[in-house]
Amino acid sequence: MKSRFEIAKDIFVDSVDLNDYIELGSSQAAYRKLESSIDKPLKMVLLFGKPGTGKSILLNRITNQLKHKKEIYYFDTPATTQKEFFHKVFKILTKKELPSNAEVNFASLVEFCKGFRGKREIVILLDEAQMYDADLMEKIRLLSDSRAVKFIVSLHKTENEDLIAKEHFKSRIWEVIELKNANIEELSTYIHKKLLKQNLFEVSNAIKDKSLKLIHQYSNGNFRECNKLMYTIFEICEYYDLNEPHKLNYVKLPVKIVEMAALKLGYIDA
Amino acid sequence: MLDVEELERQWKKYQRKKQRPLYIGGFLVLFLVVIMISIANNKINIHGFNIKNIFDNPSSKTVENNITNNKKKVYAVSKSIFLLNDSFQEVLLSKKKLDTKQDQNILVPLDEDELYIEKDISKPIVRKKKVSIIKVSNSNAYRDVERRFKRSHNINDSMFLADMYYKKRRYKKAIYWAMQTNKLNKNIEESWLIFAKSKVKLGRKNEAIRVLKAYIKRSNSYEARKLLKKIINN
Repeated sequence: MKSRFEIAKDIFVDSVDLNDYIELGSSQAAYRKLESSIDKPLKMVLLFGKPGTGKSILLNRITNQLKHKKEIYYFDTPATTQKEFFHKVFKILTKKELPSNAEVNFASLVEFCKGFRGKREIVILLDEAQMYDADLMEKIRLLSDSRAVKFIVSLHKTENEDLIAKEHFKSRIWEVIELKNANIEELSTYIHKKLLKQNLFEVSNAIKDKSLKLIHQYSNGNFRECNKLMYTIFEICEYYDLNEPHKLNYVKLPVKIVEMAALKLGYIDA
Repeated sequence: MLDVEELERQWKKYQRKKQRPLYIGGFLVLFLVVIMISIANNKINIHGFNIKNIFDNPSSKTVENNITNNKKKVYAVSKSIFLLNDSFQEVLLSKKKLDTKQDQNILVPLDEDELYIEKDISKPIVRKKKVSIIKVSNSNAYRDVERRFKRSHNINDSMFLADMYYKKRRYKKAIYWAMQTNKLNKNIEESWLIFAKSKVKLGRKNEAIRVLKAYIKRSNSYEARKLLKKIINN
């Protein structure tokens, strides 16, 4: 039988599984904004934020929610070549598989799209779009200009990528949605809700404000970093629980363990 | 697999690092407090030293006279010379009588040729207190007191010298000045005691006992009896 800390540890394994999705104020707002953007007659929408702010899970969730209402497709991993990308698009548009040795004629594809303008409305969600080169991005724009295909482009936001994104998309993007790191209240809700979802009430109650403050400080409110930190915290708790239970306070998560986890992950130096 | 023992070791190191600024800060605060206290004490000492010494001295009237003439004058103390200005007069007038015997520092007006006169003050009284300190040797200061005693035959001066010489282990001089005091006033207990203690120090225990017995006969002094008992027992 798994110990409570082992279960808690597994909850924080980083994933984009919808079952792990936790509703927070900011993520709900971003979801509503994205949903309304999809309904508007916009050609392209830019979704950006730092890695680990929940872009992928948001795209995943919106695909899941709207898949029965709209023609919505989620490209979770970027295509390695233009040929591969257009094979995928061709399949979506024509619902036919193209032979692997065949090439898609881009001009014909655009014309084809224009042909079903007003009849079909296709939404394609592109995750990790910073991986696409400028030439492909230009072709995506031309496709979106056909007004038959709408692209939701998700980008990592780093200093340089932010600049590139703004430069590249400033004349093409019609709406921008930014996801930010969580504040301490949101992160606290996120951690507690995740644990309560698995009925780990005692573990959840043991994480007091002081520890939460430290967790927020070390993870900078980033969900991915928070997951890593929480995983390591429960890994240490699991060790103490099995080997040295006298060192573990079951009522209150010791700050020492949070700091040890931060040391392990390199957030702080000894 | 986690190496928790290694993590614990790192955590202890991290704790020490985290607390280091606290220790340094605490030490600095303590250091500053000590510095401030010592500065404050020094100030108090200088002021107290001045006032007390001036009033200890019977010739302080001379000081006051000179001050009222709006002139700065230098006074030699056993360890220092003080330059006084007019505003100091206010402090002088507010101060009452002080015990001279316990203090080693006596203010002595110097002879005219020894005086260091900085400058005349023709300006009105200034509130600022200014004190310049010039060090002189102890022996010079003692000679000044001796010279003054020759003029004034003041018991305070002779008693001061007896006491100072005893403390400096110059017992013959201490005996001499105790006798000078005794010549002027036979009822000053301290002069008898210094005389007896100095004799003991010079190895003349019997003389000391004889002198003390004579004094006890006169005064029945408790202090003298205590000293006699101590000398006999040793």
